[in-house]
Amino acid sequence: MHRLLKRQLKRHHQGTVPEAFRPLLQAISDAYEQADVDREMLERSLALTAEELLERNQRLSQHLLEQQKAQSDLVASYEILDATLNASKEGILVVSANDDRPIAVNKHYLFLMGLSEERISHMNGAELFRNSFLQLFEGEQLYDQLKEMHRNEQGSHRIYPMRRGGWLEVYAVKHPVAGYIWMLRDISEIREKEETITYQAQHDSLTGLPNRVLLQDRLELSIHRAQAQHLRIALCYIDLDGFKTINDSLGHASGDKLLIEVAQRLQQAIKVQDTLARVGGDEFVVIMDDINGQDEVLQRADAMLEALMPPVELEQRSFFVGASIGIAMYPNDGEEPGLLMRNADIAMYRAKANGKNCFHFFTPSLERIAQHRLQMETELRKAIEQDLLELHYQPKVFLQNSVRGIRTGQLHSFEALLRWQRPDGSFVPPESFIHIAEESGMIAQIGQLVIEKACRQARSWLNEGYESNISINLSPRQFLIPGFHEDIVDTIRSYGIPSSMISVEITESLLMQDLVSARGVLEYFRAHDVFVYLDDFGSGFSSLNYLKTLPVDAIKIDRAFVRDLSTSSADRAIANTIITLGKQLNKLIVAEGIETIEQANFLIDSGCDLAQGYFYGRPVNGDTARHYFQLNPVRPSALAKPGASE
Amino acid sequence: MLFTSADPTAAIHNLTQLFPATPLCGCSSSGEIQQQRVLDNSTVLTVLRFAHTRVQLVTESVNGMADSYQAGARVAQQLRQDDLRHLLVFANGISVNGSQLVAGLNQTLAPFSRISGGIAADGERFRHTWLYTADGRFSHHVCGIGFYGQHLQVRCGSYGGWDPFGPRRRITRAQGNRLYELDGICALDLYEKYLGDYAQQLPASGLRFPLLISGDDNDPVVCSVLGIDWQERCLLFGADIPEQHYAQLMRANVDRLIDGAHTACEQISQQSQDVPEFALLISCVGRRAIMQQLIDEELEAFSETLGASIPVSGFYSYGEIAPNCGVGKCSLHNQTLTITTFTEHTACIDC
Repeated sequence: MHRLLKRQLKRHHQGTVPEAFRPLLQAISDAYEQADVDREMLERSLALTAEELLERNQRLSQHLLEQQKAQSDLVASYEILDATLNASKEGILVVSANDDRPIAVNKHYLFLMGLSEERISHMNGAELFRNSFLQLFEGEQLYDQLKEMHRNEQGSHRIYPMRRGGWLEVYAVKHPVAGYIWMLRDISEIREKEETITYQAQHDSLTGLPNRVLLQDRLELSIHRAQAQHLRIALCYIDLDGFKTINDSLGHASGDKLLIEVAQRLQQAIKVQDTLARVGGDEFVVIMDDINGQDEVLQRADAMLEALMPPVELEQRSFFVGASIGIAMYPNDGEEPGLLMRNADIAMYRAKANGKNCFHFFTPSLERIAQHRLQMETELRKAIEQDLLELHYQPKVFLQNSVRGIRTGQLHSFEALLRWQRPDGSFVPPESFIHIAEESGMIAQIGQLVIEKACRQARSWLNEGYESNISINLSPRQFLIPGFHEDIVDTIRSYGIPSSMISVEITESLLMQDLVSARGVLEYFRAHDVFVYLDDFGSGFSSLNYLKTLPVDAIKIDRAFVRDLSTSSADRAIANTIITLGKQLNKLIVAEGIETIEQANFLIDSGCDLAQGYFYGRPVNGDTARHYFQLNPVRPSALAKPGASE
Repeated sequence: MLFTSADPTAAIHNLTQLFPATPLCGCSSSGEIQQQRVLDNSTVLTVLRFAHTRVQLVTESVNGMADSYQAGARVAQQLRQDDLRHLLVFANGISVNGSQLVAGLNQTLAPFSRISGGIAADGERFRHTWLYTADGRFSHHVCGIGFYGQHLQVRCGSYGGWDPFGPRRRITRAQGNRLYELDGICALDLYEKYLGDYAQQLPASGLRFPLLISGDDNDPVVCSVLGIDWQERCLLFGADIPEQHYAQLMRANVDRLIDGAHTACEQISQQSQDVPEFALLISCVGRRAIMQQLIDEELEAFSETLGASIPVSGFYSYGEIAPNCGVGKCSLHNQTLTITTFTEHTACIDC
């Protein structure tokens, strides 16, 4: 029975409950129980529901917080994106694929397309497209780009010239979420720089002429055209004569001025359609397209030389610039650029060898010469490496008896002569290889080798008690090496020998080359007791003027005059005149190439001071030369100064 | 018609002997209704006699739950005639999917929707239900009685009186009439939590918390727990539980249920002021579990509203079949009081 009913019975009814009421009481008890169950269940479900709802509420709150955080993150990231977009130097536009409206655009896009934020906000994709179309040249290409963007997942990329100038790079790509993305970049500056770089890479910065790279291109192009149209081309290789001298003596600034002047003159001398290129320091190349025949080339090469003829004014002085031109013709002398250039170069060398300021056409024989020269060059290089070059010594002897006990034929000094003995024992004469050494830049090395060997020999003789002078020959090219004269004096000193034991022989052509700097060098030698011979006198453009003023100690009469002394009265007169002149100028006179007694006697009678030649002694090696000391020893102090022959 | 929670074998035998030509049908129940009283362990027999109305009865077996729809369709097919006035349906509970059965009936008879009836019950045991006809008793069957003619007026009313409470939960896992998960949580766990100690009395105690199932487009439906699969830990309902629809627990008190009975009666009187000659009351076993001793009051709601002299019979069921609110589309209901009244007029009604 329900406890509440029990309690009610206890309170309101004493004694036992009559049997008839028992079902009723049971029903009441059941109803109470039922009510309890109902209440309990209700309370329970209310509590659970409250709990559940609280939990859900909490979850919702949490969710809301997360949502808010996500929202603010989204705002922040949108701001970052916006800032990033606007910081970009690229113009960016995103058009929605759904409603054809711009959904993202940065400031640079507005700038590039000449739009305002206000204006773009009212535009759709088609209007934006039209605007772009109006901003660009070749705007119709935009249609192709649009198609390509739809077709190609990688997007589409084009470059357009802008109507307001400059270049625009346009990249368009379709994105499944974003829509159509257009990226614009003003590449005007890059284009300009690229063009400048390309220009610089293809042009000589000094003269503005095409350089070797562009020349190659043009030549290929010309050949291609000539091939197709059966035309002829002339390739002229131009090398300035004596440019290096000017460059070294007046400095690079003047040298540059000269090159600019030369470039301008050549440019004016050629046709507009020809290509003039600078391919080296003082080397130029001209491509002449569509040549009718050799005569035409000849005329035009002449015109170029003529253009260079007027003197160039540099530092208030006039300089004459000549040029040697080698010409190779397409297709006869070569059908590809490399060969044509090489053959023109070979022809140029021949022009130079022919006496400069002229031109020469390439011929197959020139090629053979060039090949020979190349072989010689290689061999010479090897010879220097293997120390196959050695000095031989030819005696110079007194011709006049003197009051100081000197007798005719007595040893005066030696001239050192360079000998190259090949491994097979054969000798290469100096005239066969010295010019190669000069042209290939080996002359400095050989010059140093000669002075070293001469000094070593002098030192060796001195150690044995023989004090004799050795003269060495200087190449005009050596004068172009800055400070070479100081090197010579330094080398003499380094061997601990008196500088009077070494003398130098120079040629007239050297003086022609650059009188001013030659004078300085000669004065330096004189100041250091280095005796100077003027070699081959009378063979070239001898100038009596410089003979008067130059610090030259001795004059060597060219062997050409000595050879025919016995048969040619003219040569006898010349020899006599030179001897008389030398004596008047207080120079020592040396006759070379004496081979007969008649020649010797004539010179003795003429009052010539010294003689050199097979008649008195062939060139011999250092060891053999010692023999002359034993015959007739002479001290350098006895070396005759001008007038000493008295 | 015969409703019983006892064994009616002998009674059926006698009846078929006495009235061999009279169609007979009925079912097992969770309590029988006779006038304003609810009986247990009794058999209530109702004899309907018509002057102008034809009656046809068909019985169909249901071959498994999955055949429920087709069984409904078969019954409807056999009873479909132009002058079909009303269709009364009784079916086994537990072995038949009531909502599929009704769907089969609806689909075949559409737009006809004058269908009512109930699902056989088994007290609060939820084990075996029976369908009775002159041929004996059946466990997997459906039986339909067609009423034909122009003179019969049938009215229906149906109302529950339950209130949803607590959160709406998404049905995250269900299959047919089996419910596994709500909001990703085991639905049986949820029932056990809410029932506390009474969880031991499942599935009977589950009647206290029917579910209001609502989808996106159809009317909310009330569903009662009719069984538990302890192995799979899922709840069995009398109707399909669609995944992704929403479910909300419902509760009721005696007063709200009695109010619900009044509403069902009012639906009848709103359709016509005529006094019915007979009323068939089918109410849910879940209502009885709540109202207990006060269960008579929902029957008295009928006599108070429509009159005490009207003959009434019926039973407590595992599911009620009736047009929504008495006049709409026919559905399977749970936790309602469903009323079907019969009045035969002398004159042709629609003429």
